[in-house]
Amino acid sequence: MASRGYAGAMMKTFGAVEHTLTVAAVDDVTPHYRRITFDAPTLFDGQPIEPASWVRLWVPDPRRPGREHQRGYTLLDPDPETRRVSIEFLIHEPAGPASAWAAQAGTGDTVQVTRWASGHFAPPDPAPDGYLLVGDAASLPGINAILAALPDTAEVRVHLERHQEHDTLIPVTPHPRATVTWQPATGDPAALADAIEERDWSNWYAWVTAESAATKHVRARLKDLGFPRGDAKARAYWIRGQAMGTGRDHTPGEETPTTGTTRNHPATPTAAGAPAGASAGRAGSGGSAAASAGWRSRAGARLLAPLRGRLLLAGAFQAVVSLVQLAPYLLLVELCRRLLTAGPQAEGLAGLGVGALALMGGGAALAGLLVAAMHVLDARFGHRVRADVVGKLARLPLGWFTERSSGRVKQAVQDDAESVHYLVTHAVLDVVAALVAPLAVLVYLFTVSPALAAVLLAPLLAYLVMSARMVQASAAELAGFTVWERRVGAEAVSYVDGLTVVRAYDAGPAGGFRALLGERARFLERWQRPLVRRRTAVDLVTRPLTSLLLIVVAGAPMAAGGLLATADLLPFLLLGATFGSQLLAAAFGLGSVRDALAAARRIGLLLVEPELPEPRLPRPLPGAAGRTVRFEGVGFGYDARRPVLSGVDLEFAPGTVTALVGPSGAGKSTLAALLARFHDVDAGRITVDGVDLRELSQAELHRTVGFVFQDVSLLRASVHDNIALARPNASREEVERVARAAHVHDRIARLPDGYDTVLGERARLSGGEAQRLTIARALLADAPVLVLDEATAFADPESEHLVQRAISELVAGRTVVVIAHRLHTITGADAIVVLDGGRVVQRGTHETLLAAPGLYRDLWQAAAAPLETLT
Amino acid sequence: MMIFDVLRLAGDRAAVVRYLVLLVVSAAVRAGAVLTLVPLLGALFSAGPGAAAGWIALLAALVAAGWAADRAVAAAGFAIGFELLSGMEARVVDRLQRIPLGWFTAGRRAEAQRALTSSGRELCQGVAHLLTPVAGALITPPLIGAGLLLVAWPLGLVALAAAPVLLGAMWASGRCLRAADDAYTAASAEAGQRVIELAQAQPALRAAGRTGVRGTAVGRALDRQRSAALRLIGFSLPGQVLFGLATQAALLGLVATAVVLGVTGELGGAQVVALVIVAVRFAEPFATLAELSPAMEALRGTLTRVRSVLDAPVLGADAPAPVVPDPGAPALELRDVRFGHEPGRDVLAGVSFTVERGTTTAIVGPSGAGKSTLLALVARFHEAREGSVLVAGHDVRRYDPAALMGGLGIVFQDVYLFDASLYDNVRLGDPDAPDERVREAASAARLDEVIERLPDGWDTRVGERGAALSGGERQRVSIARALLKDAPLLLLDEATAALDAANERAVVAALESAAGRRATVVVAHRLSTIARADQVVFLEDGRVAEAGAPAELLARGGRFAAYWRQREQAAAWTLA
Repeated sequence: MASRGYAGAMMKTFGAVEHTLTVAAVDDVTPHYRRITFDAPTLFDGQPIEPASWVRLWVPDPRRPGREHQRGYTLLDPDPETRRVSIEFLIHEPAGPASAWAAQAGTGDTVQVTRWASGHFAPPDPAPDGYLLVGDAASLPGINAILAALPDTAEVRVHLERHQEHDTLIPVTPHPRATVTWQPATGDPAALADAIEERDWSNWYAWVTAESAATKHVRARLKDLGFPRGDAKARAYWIRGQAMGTGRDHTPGEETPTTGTTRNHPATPTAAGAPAGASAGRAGSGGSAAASAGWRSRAGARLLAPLRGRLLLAGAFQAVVSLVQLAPYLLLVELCRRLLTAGPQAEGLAGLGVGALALMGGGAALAGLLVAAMHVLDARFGHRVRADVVGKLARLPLGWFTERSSGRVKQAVQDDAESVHYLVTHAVLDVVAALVAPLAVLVYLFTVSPALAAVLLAPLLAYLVMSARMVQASAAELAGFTVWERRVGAEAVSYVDGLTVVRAYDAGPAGGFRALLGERARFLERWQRPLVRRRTAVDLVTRPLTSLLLIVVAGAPMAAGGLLATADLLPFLLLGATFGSQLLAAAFGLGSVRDALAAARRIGLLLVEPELPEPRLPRPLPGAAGRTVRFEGVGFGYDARRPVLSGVDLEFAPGTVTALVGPSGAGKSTLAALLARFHDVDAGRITVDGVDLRELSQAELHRTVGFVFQDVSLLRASVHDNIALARPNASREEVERVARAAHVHDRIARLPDGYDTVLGERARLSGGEAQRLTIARALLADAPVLVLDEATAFADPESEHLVQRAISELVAGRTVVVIAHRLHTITGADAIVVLDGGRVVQRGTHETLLAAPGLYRDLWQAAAAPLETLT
Repeated sequence: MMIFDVLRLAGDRAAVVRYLVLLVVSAAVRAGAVLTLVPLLGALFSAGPGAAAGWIALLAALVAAGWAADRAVAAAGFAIGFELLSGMEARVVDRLQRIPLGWFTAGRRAEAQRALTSSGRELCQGVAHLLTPVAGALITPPLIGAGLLLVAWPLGLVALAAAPVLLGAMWASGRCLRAADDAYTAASAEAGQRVIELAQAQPALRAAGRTGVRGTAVGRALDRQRSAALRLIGFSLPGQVLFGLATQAALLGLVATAVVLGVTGELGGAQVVALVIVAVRFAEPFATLAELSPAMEALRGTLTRVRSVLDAPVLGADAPAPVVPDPGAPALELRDVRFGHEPGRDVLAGVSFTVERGTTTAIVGPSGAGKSTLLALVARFHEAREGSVLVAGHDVRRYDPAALMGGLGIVFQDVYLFDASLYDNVRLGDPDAPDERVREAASAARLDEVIERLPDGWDTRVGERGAALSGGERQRVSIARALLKDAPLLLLDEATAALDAANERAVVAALESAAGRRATVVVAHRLSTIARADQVVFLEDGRVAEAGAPAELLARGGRFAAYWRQREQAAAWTLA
């Protein structure tokens, strides 16, 4: 086999798996751009091929016979069925090895590839506002693969540098929202960077793969434009004037022979899973900090910014503490030295003991102090973060509060806050301690004897190589594992939830689920069993006894040969056996730091959600009893390109009931939500007595517009407080009055402590009772405009009539808008508005609408809801 | 000891014994290797490297033997682990089948789900990666201490005394940290709950202008959490410092003892040094234990979860010989049945009624009256506390569980579909039925319309938990399944929202089609269903308030009649 130099040897050592690809078809896309389709029988058995996955291609070096050399290429259109995959090559003169190979490749030729340490493109989470892709013909295959992987809704800018006339003929993957610009290469390496316009690139994601000098300029430009480091992936694909030949060299990057160079990095950047924390940890560094203030990816850094200085200080302090705690061992070394040189009667042994005792006490005291300080810091910080979240909630549009966002709030104030708590009180200190102690030992040992210290690194290296090989060997199973976990998790949930039915049909689901569990167990065993021996071996090399044996076996001859004093073995024997395993443990500690940084980012993201604009000078409503609500040319959509409502003109008069009717998806609920300013309209305006909703203060708005929706939310507070939520100063008499009106007073009276009963702990209410309680709440709030979801009446058939009576009580005398689900309940409405596809298609009363053909009559007939009677 | 608790789960006793023996051998070899350091270093430091060569060879041999032993331990551990991996989850499934449904609180449900998804893997990893090093670290120090007794008995005594002290310190540290974590989590959950409530109550709170933290329930909860977090220092501080301090003190004690032995002239300088180094090795395993203790905590959690399921009560089998249905007896008879989910609060407080063969009985009553519980008792998802439930003449407890289920058709509100094709899901009702009957059942349940609409028809995958179908469609699958099963007793819990009126009528007609052959007990909400029943049982507060034919009860003008009128009013209600 041809020599692959240092890089090849390294890959081999670390367990790179090789695949042979056979050329199946060659297709010249343009005169200098060639697509080769390969049969890849084994490639698909390994780790899954994700969008823009790439491989290292080993090709013979034409100028240095007997040597092979690698270059990264993007895998295109992988097809696991036919086990085929394509790679596109830029053919250029003078050619680099890969280009030369591709230029003469014919059907049946083979080439070796490895996916060792190769990445792929994964869209960042949360999705950026847009993608900026910068490159040239050499990196176009990768960019094309990314374009194919991006969602249709993403805005994309593609900047390509044209080095040859034919470059523009290479097809670019079409994307509905992509703008592609070819920038002619002028010889000025900054040209490509200058072509990137000055604008607000906040929350964009950049991917730069161009010529080396151009990449450097683009990177600098992006930094100036405010891109945080984690959001701009830049890697050079090739270097002008280097490697092959002279003049205009279009050799894709790093095709230099691989001997001795450490620059054999993948030619495609690995964008996947850039740890958000990596950039977050360097909050506010450099001049771009201000420019990138609005970036979501900086959210975690911004949240932690007030802590950053103190955490650094704490880390430094912990380093000192660790060294103090290490010092007794140095005294131990000294003790042993004296014992060896002067025997047990040596001077000052007691002094050493006292010193050790003092250091131990001091170390413990300092450590305790640090722990206490961190807890105080954390308590303050945690409180501030939660208070910020609470404050934020009050400024978010009500439309933001969906079930999913409630989950986010929960995650932020509980799990994520706990992660950050762990970061502050434990993780940072632990990592510093775990790193400082073994590193200090290592440095110390190197000062005693570099040769013997170097010997101790051997098990560590062996560990790294062996575990890397193990990870490499498990790549495919690791992906499979995730799939299995998800599948079994979902099945287990439904299995336990559906246990009643499972029992009734034992043979079926139970059998199926049992089989699934068995299959999963077999998968895990197939995966793990062959690894047992390796795992044990990995475990054994890092054992203290192994290191100890190494010290004795290597140290004794050294001492015999006079290379080191016998007494110099002491520090090794006392300290050298465990530092390796300690160092490895530090790596695990980093995991929780990463988790905490991700958690901080989630909290930060919550805090930068767009807020509902509050009017600077709120307008008061004119004093009046009833309120008239008017929709004027209202248009709205949750997503700018898909309007839910358009051109809605309506008027709701005081003392009338208006029913919203229409098929599901017609926009009924959205219209009602806009009235309570859950969202702001995109077009037109909504007014109450002539005042735009957006000009009202929040308090006035919610005093004016009330609503009763399907999902009932009761607080874990007393019944009284639950009813008096919107009017905390209401007297017990007032509360009782509305409870009676809502037909829930009798039920409350039966609760253990009446109106003072705390809900949720001892007292649970049925669905219908809870609904009546919220109706009482709305009655007390006494908002003149009321939005009502009539589906309310469905929840609890037995108490339905009581809920209905409560509703009748509630609507009297207000401006009522009701979302109707059962047509026969709104036949008496003063006005019926029929919506379809976000527009008002009909309006009138039940009688007028039924009299003429139209959507309402169709709906009425389809429902054909006859009253059930006893026959 | 948790180690034994885990190993007890493994079925193969011989493998466990083998593993334990190997563990001891491996620890003994390791202790031997450490003790070899005494003569080795003594020779090395007093007489030079040449004199130590023999001992170095012995150390090398012992380390190699230790590797071999550890390898064997690992293999034995993995063997047990793989057995747990493949067997544990199936055992959990088996147990879940026989636990009364009343046992499943929300918390236990979640525990059971986790036990199902990860207990095998976690236990396997636990044995292989955790128990082995932990057991090794526990056994080795006493062995070293015992060995030291032979070399320098005072030192051996100190070592043997230090071991329990260190373990105690580690335990105390762990307790403190756990207490701190628990307190923090509790305070955090309380504050979190308040914030979530706040999010839900935004509109009302905004109307009242009460959205800040000052003087509100949320603000108070956050303040409480802050003080709770500060109080944690009292737990965290000893937790984080105690064990390290104990280790260093133990080391100091050992070293001092060795030095004193030197000073008193019992040992030479080189020997003291050798013993100091052995003392450091002696303390090492405790550091390993401390590092592994969080993982041990996690394993303890897994173990608790698995045990809680495996030790849960199961529905007993009373009869020595299971009975067969008596064709002459009523389809169902309840005799003074009492049942409660918790002691002292009966959901059913003495219910008796009879369902004759081929008739339909509607169970009616306000929510919380115990209607669904009643059906669950018939299906033996729970056990009656007093009284008896007789299906076809025999108490349900006397049936073989499979035989009892074989005689029941069940359509409950929670529909379980498994992730397979529609066809397979319906087919479940009778795996041996010819295709034709499967189709008949589907069309009777109005499932045929759904099948026509779906691109893959019968072969449509329903997705996890039937996610590809709507609630009403899932309900129809469940009905088709029960129709196909064609059991003599059908238990039907009327899903209030899942079917629209038109489908409901068709389904009721289909269910009636077998009238005469099949008895039906239906928890009914719809007036049409109630009206068609042969018998109405009106439940209130866990008792039968009234029972009889619907028209008869209506004429009587009692509770049922009042209920009926309310329902009629509700159906005719208009908003304005």
